[in-house]
Amino acid sequence: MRERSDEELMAEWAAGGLQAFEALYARYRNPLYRYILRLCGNEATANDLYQGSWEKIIKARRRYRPHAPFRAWMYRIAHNHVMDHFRRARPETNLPTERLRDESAGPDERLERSGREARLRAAVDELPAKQRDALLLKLDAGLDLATIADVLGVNRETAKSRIRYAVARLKQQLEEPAG
Amino acid sequence: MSDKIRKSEHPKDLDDGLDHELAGIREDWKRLDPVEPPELVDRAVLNRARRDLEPARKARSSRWLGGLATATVVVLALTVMLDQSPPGVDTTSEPLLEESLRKLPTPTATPAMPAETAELEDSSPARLSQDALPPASPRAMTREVRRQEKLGTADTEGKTLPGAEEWIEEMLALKRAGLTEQLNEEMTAFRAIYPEFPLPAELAEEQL
Repeated sequence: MRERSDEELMAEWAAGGLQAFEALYARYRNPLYRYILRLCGNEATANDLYQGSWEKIIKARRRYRPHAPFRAWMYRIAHNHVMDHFRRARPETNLPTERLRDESAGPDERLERSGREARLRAAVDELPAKQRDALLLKLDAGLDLATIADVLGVNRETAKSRIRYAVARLKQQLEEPAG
Repeated sequence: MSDKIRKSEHPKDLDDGLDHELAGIREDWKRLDPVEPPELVDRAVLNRARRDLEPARKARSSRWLGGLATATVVVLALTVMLDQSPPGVDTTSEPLLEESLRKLPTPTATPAMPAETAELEDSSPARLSQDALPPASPRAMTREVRRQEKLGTADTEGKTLPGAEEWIEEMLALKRAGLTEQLNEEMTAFRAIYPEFPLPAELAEEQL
């Protein structure tokens, strides 16, 4: 049987079908959580922001227009929710510019993180907030450039340059010898 | 959603070589520890979605119940209307009586009742159905008086009943028509209301 599109499920949910929502939730549960967690860098905050994002999505379901791609609509709501949170918490910045390092990690864990994957994660964490946001929408959400631009509220060229700068920085950090 | 998002569905807009640049990083990124929301958060979100749909579901079920309730009320109202209609007078067997009744003046006095009750009566479906019926005959009125007597609501003053003289006229007409059975019935009713009223000799015989 053909898998139903996000937009079909969304229309069914907007009409009152709970199962359609459950299907959408199952589909986007992990990627959305990953995006929010890696964007804000703190699990407790991420849990709150993730739940709050879904609450906003649920509230906004009647305003969804069927021809709009669901994924972009959903990520925009989540992105705006995270931004609002950080604007309220720290008016001078939109996002923490650098994630707090996990000081609770034991020696073995720290050793394990010396691998390439751990270095990648650390490098992403250290990206400037705007570049990290754009990159995560590409890597985790899998959005295309125009949609990323729309979610971030910038033009397409700005979105592209943020991702390019982020990629260049990551490559540079990953090529450096581990230390 | 803005035009930018709609435009994004166009294939040439997708990447601008970024996907190629990201290829190596994407592979490593996928291998990172999978993260997922805590089960409690999942449950909270699903419950929130369920609650959000509750009003619509309730509205749907109450619409169904509303229809059922309306149908029930209509059936009950019809039942009450039919139940309250006065029993039909058998006009085929009483042509002379009908003729004599037509000559009688229509009773003008109505049972006295409080204003509120009168208003309710006037607007009730039963009242409307009675309005649509032909004027009640003295016999029907007598039955009604007896019924009200049983209920203790009858006004025993003469003003609420057909006049005794009129009633006597009616009974005389029945006697002349040879409708003995109906005459006896009327006589019994008459005596129940006017126990002391003197009867003409012609009817006094019947009473014996």
